[in-house]
Amino acid sequence: MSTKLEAAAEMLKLERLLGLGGGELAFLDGIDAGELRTLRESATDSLFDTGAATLARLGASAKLLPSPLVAVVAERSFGALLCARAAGSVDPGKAIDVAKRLSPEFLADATIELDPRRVAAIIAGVPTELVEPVARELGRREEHVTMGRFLAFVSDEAIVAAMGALSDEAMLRTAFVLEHKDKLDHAVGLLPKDRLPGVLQCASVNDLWPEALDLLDHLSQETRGPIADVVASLEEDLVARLVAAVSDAGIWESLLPVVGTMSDQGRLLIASRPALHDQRILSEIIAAAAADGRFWSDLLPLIEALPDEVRGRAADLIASQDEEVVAGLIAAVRELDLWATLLPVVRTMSEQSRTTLAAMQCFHDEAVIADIVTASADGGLWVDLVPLLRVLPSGAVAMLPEVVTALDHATLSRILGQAVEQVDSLVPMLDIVDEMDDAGRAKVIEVIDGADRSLGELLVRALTEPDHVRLLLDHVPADVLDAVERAADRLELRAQFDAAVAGARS
Amino acid sequence: MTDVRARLEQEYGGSLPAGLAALSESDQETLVLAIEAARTRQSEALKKATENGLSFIPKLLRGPVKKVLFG
Repeated sequence: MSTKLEAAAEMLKLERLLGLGGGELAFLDGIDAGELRTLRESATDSLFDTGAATLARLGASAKLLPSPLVAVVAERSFGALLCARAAGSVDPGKAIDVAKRLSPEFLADATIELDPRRVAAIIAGVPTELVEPVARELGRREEHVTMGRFLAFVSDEAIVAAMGALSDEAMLRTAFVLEHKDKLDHAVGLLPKDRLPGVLQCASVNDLWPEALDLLDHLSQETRGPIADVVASLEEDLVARLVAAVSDAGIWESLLPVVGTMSDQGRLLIASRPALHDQRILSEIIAAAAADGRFWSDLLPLIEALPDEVRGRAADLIASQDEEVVAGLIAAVRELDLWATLLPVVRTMSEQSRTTLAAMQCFHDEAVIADIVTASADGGLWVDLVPLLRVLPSGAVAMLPEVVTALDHATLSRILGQAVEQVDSLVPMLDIVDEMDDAGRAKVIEVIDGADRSLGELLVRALTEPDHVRLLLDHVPADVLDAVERAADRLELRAQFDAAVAGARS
Repeated sequence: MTDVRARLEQEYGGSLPAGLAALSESDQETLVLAIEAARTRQSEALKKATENGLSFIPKLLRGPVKKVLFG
């Protein structure tokens, strides 16, 4: 999750605990959330331990009196603070019986002063019909921190009742300061599906995107996916507000995982929004991914989904990163097998950016080159790889023949099939074959000799393409050309082959 | 170590970690005063509530309740 948001939530909770107004502890900005949490927990314990012995005796004395009388005394005389602090020592059954006789306003007052950890048994037994009015009252008073302390201690029925009583805004603000955010996924799963668009709409209208993104950040992939698509389908002006809010707060690390869980359709839709096409925004997004290598897998599909011109600019921004950042990107791409997403992005770069990228040390690694070539074969990406191959420095190019030679028969067959589809992609392959040793060429020849009709026809037709036949024949080693000739014989394309070769050599 | 820092460490429950330790003495003082003030406010509120509370209990029951409360 975003450490900034986590610290902001902690600051709100500490201010609430100490009875301070929002922003009074602003000087704590920048301090780690963990430090603030430890301080808050320690302060909570010291506050709640004040007068503990007397309060325990007071709580125990409740059993001496009938519940109606305890309720009257509690509400009219002892007051909410005293009752809340003594509640931990009251028998849970008695406490619930008394609570049923108290007004929602008083219960709300008392809830604010309760430490749910000390009264867990009481909270678990509070009937739903009591939860709803108290939640409504706490929502009205904007007691989000108070409500946030209770989620982990109440039943599913109580969660549903409380969420039903809260406005979308109160729900978002409460979720933001929730004490046990690991419970959020379950709680959101209890929400009616038709409530989610309203919650996100509310985030946009009330400038609560940091709160909303923090909420999404704590959901499982399964829960977040459909919500992420609701974000994607927001109106253009709402997306613009989302982007502006994320940019202002510097929390791209919270938005990127949401984009990463969108469906292809959702991602395409949000990628089409002009707010994301601004050069400054693109720079911020890529800088966020560069700063934390975990987000490349979320970012690359977004970049791939951008319109061509924007994708080109984003791709150029990637190429302008430090070598260390690009090495991190390549490591992530290898680990998560994202070549199918990266190579089309590389193809969209300017020639200059591509050359800069290809010159980086991470591309001079035989394992990386092997990965790229294999991924291209498997994903039908040879045509996307060619622009990168063209600008690789000689050291990396020299690795290609050995890498291609090491491919298994089926992979080599697939890559040849892709290479012969266009003359632009065939020439780099022929250059590689030309640099192979005998063993390498023997493997290529074996593929051509064993080619089925579909690949064989493609090979013969590609090599005898009238406009390029001279160029192509210059690149084909003699023994490989012999194999193509045999394929032409086998596939009854001999006349076409002979005519093209004779024409080229005349 | 300053008095303010020692008081904040007491509230924190140990040596101050990097972020809190790096606060200016004035900010550390604001923070520790806020915690101490919250505790004082609460202590006074609890005392007042306890003193007033017994007046609502019927005379007959006041004795046993006092006995439980104050021994």
